[in-house]
Amino acid sequence: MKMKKIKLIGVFFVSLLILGSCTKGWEEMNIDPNNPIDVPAENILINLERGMSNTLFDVWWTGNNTSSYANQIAKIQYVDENRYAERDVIIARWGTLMGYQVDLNKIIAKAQASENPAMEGLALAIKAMLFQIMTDTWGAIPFTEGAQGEEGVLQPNYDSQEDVYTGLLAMLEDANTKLAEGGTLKNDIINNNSAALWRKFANSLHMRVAIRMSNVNPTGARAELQKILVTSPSTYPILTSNDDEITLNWVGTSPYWEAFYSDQRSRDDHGMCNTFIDALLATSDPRISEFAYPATSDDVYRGVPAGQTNAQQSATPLASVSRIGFRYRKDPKGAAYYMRYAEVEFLKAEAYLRADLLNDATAAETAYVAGVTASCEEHGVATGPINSYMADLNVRWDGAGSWGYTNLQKIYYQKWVSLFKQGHEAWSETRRTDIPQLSIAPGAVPATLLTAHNRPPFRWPYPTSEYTLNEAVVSANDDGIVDRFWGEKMWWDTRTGVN
Amino acid sequence: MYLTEYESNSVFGSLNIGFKNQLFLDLTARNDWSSTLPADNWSFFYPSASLGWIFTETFGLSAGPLSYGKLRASYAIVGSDTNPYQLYTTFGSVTPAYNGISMFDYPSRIAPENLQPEKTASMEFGAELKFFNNRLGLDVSYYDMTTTNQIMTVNVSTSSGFLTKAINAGEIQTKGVEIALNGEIVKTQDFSWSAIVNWSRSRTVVNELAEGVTSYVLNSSWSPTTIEARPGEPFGQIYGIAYERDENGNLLTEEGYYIGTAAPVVCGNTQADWIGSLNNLFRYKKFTANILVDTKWGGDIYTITKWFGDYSGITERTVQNNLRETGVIAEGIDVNTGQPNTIAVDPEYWFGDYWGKTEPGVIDATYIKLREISIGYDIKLKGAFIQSLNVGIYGRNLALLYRDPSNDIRIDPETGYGTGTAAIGIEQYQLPPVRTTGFKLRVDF
Repeated sequence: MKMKKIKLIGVFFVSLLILGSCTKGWEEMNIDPNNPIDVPAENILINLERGMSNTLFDVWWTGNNTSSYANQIAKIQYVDENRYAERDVIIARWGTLMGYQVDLNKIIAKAQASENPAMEGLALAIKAMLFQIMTDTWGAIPFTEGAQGEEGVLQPNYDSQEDVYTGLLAMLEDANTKLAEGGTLKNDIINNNSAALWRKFANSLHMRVAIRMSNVNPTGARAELQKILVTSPSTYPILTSNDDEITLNWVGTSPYWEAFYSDQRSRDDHGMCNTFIDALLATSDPRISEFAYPATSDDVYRGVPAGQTNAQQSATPLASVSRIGFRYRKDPKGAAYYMRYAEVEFLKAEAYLRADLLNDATAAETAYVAGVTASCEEHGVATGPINSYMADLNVRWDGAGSWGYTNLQKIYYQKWVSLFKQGHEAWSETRRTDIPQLSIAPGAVPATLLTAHNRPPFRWPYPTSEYTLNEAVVSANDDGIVDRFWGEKMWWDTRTGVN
Repeated sequence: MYLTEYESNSVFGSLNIGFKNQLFLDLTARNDWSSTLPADNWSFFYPSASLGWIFTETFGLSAGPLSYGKLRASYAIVGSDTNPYQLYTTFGSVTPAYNGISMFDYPSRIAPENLQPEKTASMEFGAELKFFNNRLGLDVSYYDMTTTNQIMTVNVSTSSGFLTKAINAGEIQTKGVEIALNGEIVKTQDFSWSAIVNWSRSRTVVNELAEGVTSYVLNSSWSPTTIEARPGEPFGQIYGIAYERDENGNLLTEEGYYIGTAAPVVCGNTQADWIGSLNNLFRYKKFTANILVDTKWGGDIYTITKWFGDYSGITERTVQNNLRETGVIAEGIDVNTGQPNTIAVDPEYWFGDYWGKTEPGVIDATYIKLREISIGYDIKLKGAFIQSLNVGIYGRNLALLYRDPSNDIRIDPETGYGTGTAAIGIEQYQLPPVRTTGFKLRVDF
């Protein structure tokens, strides 16, 4: 009996030798036959363009948060986010945005390998834009070390916002160069494969970055703006008409609908903010019928505060609130607005007007008028009504309007209006300019926020996952954050007396 | 059609040696090959050994009060592979195509490097003792089980551009004690009563995870709350925003609200202090009865039913005691005055402030349950075909006898524990386990 068992052990070791060679073809066998190991850059690009046009422009990011902080859109049901009960899954889009950087790194590597500078330049321009939106939301971000998980960087450091801005300028310089070097684009659903238009976008974005940092680094901003607008405009083409508008126009078939259209098919959560509607009414703004529908109850344009109290909510039944206009919420083929031509004219106007920048008041006025006109024309307003609107004293250059705005403040105001539904940009501009002057949500929860703060959020909190998985880095970068959304301001936010 | 193909081969051998019915040695050896691992790691070997010693036999004690005594010790290693196609990253097709153009997504999971087979090494010492002619039995064991190279997909900082990485994650150790006591308390011709008591306690600690991985998220909720395994900490920590307290442990308030911690902290741990059961078996003539009570003592769960129920105002406590008229006056010390809080807050806002906070949803998951009662009656038949019949009634999950006072939402705490680690520690509107009652007939031929 015992001998038999011992023999079995012997058989075991012989079997080891025999079976050890039964591994033929195993390496190939363990490669997934169901999914591709590699795909062309353009098939990654189209998915990225589609994806980010939802991430940055859907009802969660824009409707509930950024456009509400900018007092353009207000939640009319489930007001929670407007009262700063944010959803961590939305804050966690930090990760979604960093994931896009991985896609862009892949596109760049493929473009370099196939010697396609146009595709590389396009990817650089999108990279810069996504990092710009990220840094303007969170401040310090993993600009240099981020998106390198496959290279083993699992806990990337953050760069200060100032360093990010320096990096963005270099990246956009690079994008402009590459986009001028030729090559071919494919599957680009934003600019329909036009490298020339991407180049205009890269340089216009370059101006956006320069102007945004101009209050903290006027010398640096001036050098950039001088180069683009005065010294070498032919090397730095920018958007020059509404035909150049940088948008993704949705195909409009299920499920690829414009995000607000998609949402309103089953929900009715978003209406117009009173700050925005009241300003449009005060200036008899001819764009109002494009931005909003009048309330169904009495055919009057009426907004509600972003983050209204229960009492305010009860006092304004749903039928008495203006909903968002057709082109922005009811059109399945609507657009994700990355950059409008009007914004570029307002960037120019500010650059020329300010003595610490280009200091050319005549050019500033020209750009201002062009900007207002472009925004009105974008919304289908005819020349006659545009002229009437321009005559309003709160709009007219040098006009002594009831709001008491200076010319610079008028540029800020008009830019804010023109940025409708570009929530992150409108929010950034109100933080930089304090025009129009906004307040904290009246229904903020907890109510302690109402006494502690007098403006909408300065920033977003870092996602909870960073505190779990990148704790040392995030803790080194969150000093001064108060109540998650306030405290530490953006590097470029020079407002005083705000908290 | 999704195609999955892999191969694995194994060889197994065992050796059992007995010496004079006193000493027993069992040895096993096994080698596996799996195509799911990298080529260098296809083959992996794992052995086991166990030794038992019936010392009552050796020393001739079986006539005394200790009728049977056995000591045992064992050591075993078990290896295991992973699923196929884990070693490379492939693009995922996004459907439907956009305007007819194919779209591909790069996955958010980083492929593992040099994936090793998972290994669990366990050591166990135990004693099995029987007294008074087997009327009383005691079985005690202590075990220490260490799993290394656990193949798991861990969350990584999304700053890396990815959500997860597949790794061989360090070392997780579980130590525990199990005690079983059984006794025939009364034994007469017509009546007998015996009882079985089980008690066990185990502690799982995460000794280390892979380098650069500070946490393994076992489970997470949208609220947000996470159940985590962190190096140097017990397994199953509940992480989330808690409330600030002063040095004496008093909750702090500001303007009537509790103050959330700036970052997620440990709000509890899901591991129970101990679990136990008491099973009583009665027999009177041809009747038999069995009553089983069991308990899980200690351990926390995060209940969304309570947290969101309070947040959205659907629970009783958001309205009771005329709260809507008087407001909530939170018990705590006002940070501005240093005195007990006196500020009343509208309950909608006060409970609305639960948003994003974990502490209000954490409860002690202790329970004592009347797990089972069954009663049977034996009928002996003289027929040649059917030997005997047993008819009976039984009921399972009959009553929740005790729950912790913190469980004021009155959920069955057992519902927080799903199968495996995937559902650990978080309860959300779960249905309690079903109570079953029935009639039973057993026929022996």
